Amino acid sequence: MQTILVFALLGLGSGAVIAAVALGVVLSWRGSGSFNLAAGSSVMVAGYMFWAFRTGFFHFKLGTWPAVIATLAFMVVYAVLIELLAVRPLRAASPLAKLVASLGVLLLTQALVQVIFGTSPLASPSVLPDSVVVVGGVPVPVAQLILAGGVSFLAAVLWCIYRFTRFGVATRASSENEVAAVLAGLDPNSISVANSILANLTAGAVGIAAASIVGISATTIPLLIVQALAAALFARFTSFGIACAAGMAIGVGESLIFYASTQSWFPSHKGVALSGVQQLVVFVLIVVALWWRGSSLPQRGELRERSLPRVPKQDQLARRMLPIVAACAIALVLLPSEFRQAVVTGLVGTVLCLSFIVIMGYVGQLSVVQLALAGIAGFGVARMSSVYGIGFPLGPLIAVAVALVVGVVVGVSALRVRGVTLVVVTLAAAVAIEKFVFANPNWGGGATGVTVQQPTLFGIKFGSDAGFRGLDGSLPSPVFGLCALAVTAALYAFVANLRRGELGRRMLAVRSNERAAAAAGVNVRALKVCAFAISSILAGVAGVLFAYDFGTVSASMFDVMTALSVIASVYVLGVTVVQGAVLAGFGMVGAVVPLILQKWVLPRDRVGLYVQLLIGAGLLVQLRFYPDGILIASATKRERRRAERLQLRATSAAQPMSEQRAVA
Amino acid sequence: MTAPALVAREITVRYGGVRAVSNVTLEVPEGKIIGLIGPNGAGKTTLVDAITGFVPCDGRVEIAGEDVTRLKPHARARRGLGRTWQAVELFDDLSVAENVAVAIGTPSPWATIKELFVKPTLEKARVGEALDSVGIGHLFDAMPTELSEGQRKLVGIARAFAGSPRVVCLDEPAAGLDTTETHELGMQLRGLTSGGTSMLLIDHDIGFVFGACDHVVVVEFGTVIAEGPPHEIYANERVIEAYLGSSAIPTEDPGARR
Ligand SMILES: Nc1ncnc2c1ncn2[C@@H]1O[C@H](COP(=O)(O)OP(=O)(O)O)[C@@H](O)[C@H]1O
Ligand SMILES: [Mg+2]
Repeated sequence: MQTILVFALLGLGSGAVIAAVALGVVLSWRGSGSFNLAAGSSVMVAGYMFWAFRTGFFHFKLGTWPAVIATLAFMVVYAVLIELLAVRPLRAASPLAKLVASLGVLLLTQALVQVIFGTSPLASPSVLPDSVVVVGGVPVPVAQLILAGGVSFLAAVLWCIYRFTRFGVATRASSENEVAAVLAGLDPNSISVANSILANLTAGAVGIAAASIVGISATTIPLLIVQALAAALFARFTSFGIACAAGMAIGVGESLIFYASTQSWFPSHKGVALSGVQQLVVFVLIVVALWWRGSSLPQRGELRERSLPRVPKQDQLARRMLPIVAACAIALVLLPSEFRQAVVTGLVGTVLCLSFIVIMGYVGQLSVVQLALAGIAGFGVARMSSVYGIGFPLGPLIAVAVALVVGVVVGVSALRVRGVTLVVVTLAAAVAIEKFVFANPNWGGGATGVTVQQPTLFGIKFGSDAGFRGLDGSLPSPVFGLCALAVTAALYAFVANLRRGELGRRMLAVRSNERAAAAAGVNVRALKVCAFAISSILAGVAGVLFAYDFGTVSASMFDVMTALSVIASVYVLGVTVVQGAVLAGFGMVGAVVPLILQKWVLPRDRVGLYVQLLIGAGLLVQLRFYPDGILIASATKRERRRAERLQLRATSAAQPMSEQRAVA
Repeated sequence: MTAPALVAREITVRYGGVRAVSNVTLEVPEGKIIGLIGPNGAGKTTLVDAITGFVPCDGRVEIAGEDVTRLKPHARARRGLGRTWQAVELFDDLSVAENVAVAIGTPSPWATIKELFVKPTLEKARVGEALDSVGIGHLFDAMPTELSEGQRKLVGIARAFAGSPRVVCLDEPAAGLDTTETHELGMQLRGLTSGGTSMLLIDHDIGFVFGACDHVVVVEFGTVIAEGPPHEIYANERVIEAYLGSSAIPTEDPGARR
């Protein structure tokens, strides 16, 4: 009993951090209507800055209090910077665009922090006492209590500010009806920046205090956003008190589950306790929260809404595809093995990105779970071949079918939620699948991963170990590359064709206006499930190809940060056109573009970070200047120029000079 | 005698405690245009929402004799019930032709699958016909965002009629059109009935409604206060008092929510 209490109290530490991130999420939503995926990153930034001030990283060393003040001052600057770069330019954008912008901030800060401070976690000088007091026989860690008390106090302060000050009333007014607030003379920009400063100061204080408890890590802290979103959902993105309490409860719960996993009754495999139960619980909590607190977020009266990126028609498909396919085929045969491998990875990445084009570009549903579906298929193929001896073609078929089933289940359970809420559900689902399935030694890959047997049919090898080894005679075989190319080209044509046909038209109709689509006879629910199914199949095929391509699968290949990076890069390039999938695929880590960068431009071990940095920054630039995506922006410009030329020619042919001058 | 194209029996819609529509019964015979008029907030839009399945209601809705009360909006649409909105709701990502094409096809799963592998074609003839019927054939390739408000309205109407529906509910189609355009629209609507399509026509422009309709229903505070042929309604004292006389004749709905 006592031990349980101790674990519960220990959980208060991370619970307080989750609560603080949840408060940040609520503040962003109420202040600017943005759904802030980067709320956890603020805690991380504060932790790193405090560490740097205290330890003399910037060549000067500060005492505890000066360092605290310097860090908080930095957080104000950081808040204003983010506001100017990622929030203000998108005031009038759709909620989805705002969310994607916060994704850009998340990727950018996470990469930047690691580039500056290195990738290994740091031990921060502690601010809170690390003593333990014994109350009634129970040892109570003081730091955790202070942290929890401090965050509760901050929540109370925020509540008071919102309740009693004019600023609070203004924020509430503007979050309920921005139009009316503007008419009443309130400036949404100042309200938004003030809320952002409040959020970052809260995050800053907690980042400083918690650094010694949870450790400073760029990989774990930003992802606390998942738990924080669960807490914020319980609070309906409005109540500070509930967000705070729910956040702490999640922290305590996770700690208790950890305690339970040390017990003999806890399910285990070969002496290792079942992993990922915490993440599974958070996912279930989110589903419960949606069911219990209502499936939609409180509506905000927005000024105006810019719609999703345009979806241009796909013309002259074959003519545009053939040269690229031919170039890839030649490259696969001629290039040395390293590049061959990169081309294959790029092709497989393209298939993965195509699944995002369908679900995100055509139907407007941002689903994070696609990479996890690819992982399910990848692990499926690997385990079927290595454990059950089921090889090609049955293994891949079953694997894709499993991914399809899981994808459709996610799609059906997410039918009632749309837009930004879907992101929360699928994000939590992706994390749960990663930790509970992939990292789980029982049915996933555990710490080491699973190897895959290469495909053979009628005794003929056509995997990466096939007989023909290219010009340099080394692995991987171009034969597998050519097979992957054929699959990719077919699926590429399929997704492009989808845009031109009846089904794609209906998808876009649903994306534009669900009500009107229903009135035109479109079964909106069936259509969404159908889109999820198509997208899941694409993801599943990508997963199978990944497994064959790399020869082994491991949890880190399909983790949620990778998924977010892929989504971001597809979005930057053009989430509504198939060409965007190709470029994003070839830009994935392990594919051609990063390989070239790491060979000639960047330090070898940092390529992933720099690519992420580029994607994050690119996202902010793209959302600001090319809301439709970079590819579409350039295509539009070209189209317009051509249209102008045509018109010019038409008018000059049709009209005599004098008339033309009159028209001009 | 064949069943009427549309029957709405004892429809009641509640928003919280408020009854926006109470116990309204109306019937749209085949090939006829029925007018629905009433002051702002009378519950006209709400009634159309109930008939087309967008708000839950008590009562019973029949299309050509078939009970559709339990069906979802898209299923009612497939049984031949079209509608337009007070504020136009087009698919802004699709061209005008594609907007109309969405309403035309009710594809079989098999045809859809086949289409994914061969180059699909738009049913140009039928789309063009639908656009021509309201006189906007020249907008075939335009994008909705490039159009004027009046043209957008017409695209919405063309889309509602494109799938050869039995009956179409038109929510203030003439709002935003000028006098000649309104007159033209009236003629076009009459033309569309010759194909057997019936209509429930809501508008504020009394002249337009009385000119186009065979029969007029007047609602106030969610209940029917009068109905009959236009000339009778024109002379009905209660109607004059409730609606026509009160604030002259309103031509546009300032409280348009959708
Ligand atoms: N979604 C809604 N929630 C609550 N009340 C509504 C809603 N829609 C309409 N109402 C109310 O129902 C009544 C009828 O509205 P409406 O059908 O739009 O009238 P009309 O179209 O005749 O102008 C009005 O009093 C309006 O305020
Ligand atoms: Mg109305």
